Amino acid sequence: MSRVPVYTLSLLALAAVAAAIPSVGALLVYDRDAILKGELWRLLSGHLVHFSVFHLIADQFALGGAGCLIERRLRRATVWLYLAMAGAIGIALLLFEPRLARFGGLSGLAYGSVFYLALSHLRRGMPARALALTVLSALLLKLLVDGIQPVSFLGGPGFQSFVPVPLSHLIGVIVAGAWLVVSPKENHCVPAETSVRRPGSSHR
Amino acid sequence: MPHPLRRSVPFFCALIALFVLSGCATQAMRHNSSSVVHYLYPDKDKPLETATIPRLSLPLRVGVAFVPESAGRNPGFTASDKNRLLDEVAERFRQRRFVASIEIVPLVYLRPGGSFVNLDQLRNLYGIDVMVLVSYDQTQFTDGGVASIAYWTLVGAYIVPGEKNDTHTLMDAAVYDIASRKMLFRAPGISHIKGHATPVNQSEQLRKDSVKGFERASADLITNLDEQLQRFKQRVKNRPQDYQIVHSSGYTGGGSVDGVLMVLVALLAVGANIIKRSRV
Repeated sequence: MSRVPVYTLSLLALAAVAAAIPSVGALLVYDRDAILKGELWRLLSGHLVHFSVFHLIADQFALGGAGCLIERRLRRATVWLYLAMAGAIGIALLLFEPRLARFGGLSGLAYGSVFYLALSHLRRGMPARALALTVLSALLLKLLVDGIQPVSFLGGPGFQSFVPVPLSHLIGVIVAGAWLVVSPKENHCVPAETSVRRPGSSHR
Repeated sequence: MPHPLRRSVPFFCALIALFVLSGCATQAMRHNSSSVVHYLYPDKDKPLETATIPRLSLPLRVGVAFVPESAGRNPGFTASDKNRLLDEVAERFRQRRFVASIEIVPLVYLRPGGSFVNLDQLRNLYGIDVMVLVSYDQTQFTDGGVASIAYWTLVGAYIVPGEKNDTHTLMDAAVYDIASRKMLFRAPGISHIKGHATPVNQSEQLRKDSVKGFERASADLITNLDEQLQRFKQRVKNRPQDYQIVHSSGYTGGGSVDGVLMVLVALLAVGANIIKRSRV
């Protein structure tokens, strides 16, 4: 039975609202000075803000695709995964990117979701495992390339009005990996998937 | 005995030839320029400042100014013309996302031969990291053409455009990182105007040619500037050993998804669908 992934869709809708109403975006954006003055919600809500239409659509596509697949299994626990990733990214930016004045974007959550999904597929049989290995290899290679790319500001595609922050992607991936390890087993994708296995199937 | 008029024919022929030839050979030249080299390195005896590896703090804060004239002052290239050109140059930089701000520095803030000491002062005054120095070199040549023989009639001097004018204009925008003394890139703009004038309106025509020359060279400069800015981006990206890139305080960052992640998401979605179908 397919369920509507309400939490992920709500998150994407909130991002669209923040983009459509600038005053809402200004209230939610990660603003280092404001956070240091006590507006701590920005650590979480900053991810909902985007700096261009392309930025919003690209992030919505990636998180929408991966997040909906996760939510089919995790259901309400998806919210906790999102909150954990958003909070960890916000705190990491505050601690390790002191020059970063403003930040926005859901891509850290999107990277984390893709990583989580690929990791959980590793526990399946073939061909899911092969697919998961391919995605994980590509994702880790991309994180490495983004991390050592010194001129992201100049070398970007030209339509972005901001500096890509690879740290947000890295933290999203780390939190997603940790979530899979430490969260209760009923919160994993795979056990729920295995419950629909047909008797006599060769899949695990 | 020859007729007295016949004897004077060679004399008149020689006189005409003298005037015609002297008219053709007449050449005048006007030269106006402002040189970046004269501005930055005015003292030949002083040792040159060695350029180091530029440390570009992104997004850049850029200043743009005209270099003070070193040879003559061109009355046709007015302060408002210069400001208009600086506005266009500034606009080209403003469109780049690696530029945080651009300041147009008035000419009076640049001392002739001010060198990097002057640029350091501007750096502190305006809070800029990079300076775009715009300079020009314009030479106008005037030659008397064959038609200038008509000037003999006096009326011809009013109606026959026997003066041939050539106006060569070179404009140059050199972009310097002030701290490292390194030229990051430059963009040229050239034009060549040919024209004719009567002696009576020669001065006015030269002025018009001069203005037209600056306009065309400026347009060429702007076109080349776009291209050079693009090349500079690529050069910085491809040769990280030549440029140090740091992000200045107060920049805006974003989590951005690119084509690679989108492909991975699509792969996972397709894979999940296949697995689901294979189990039904």
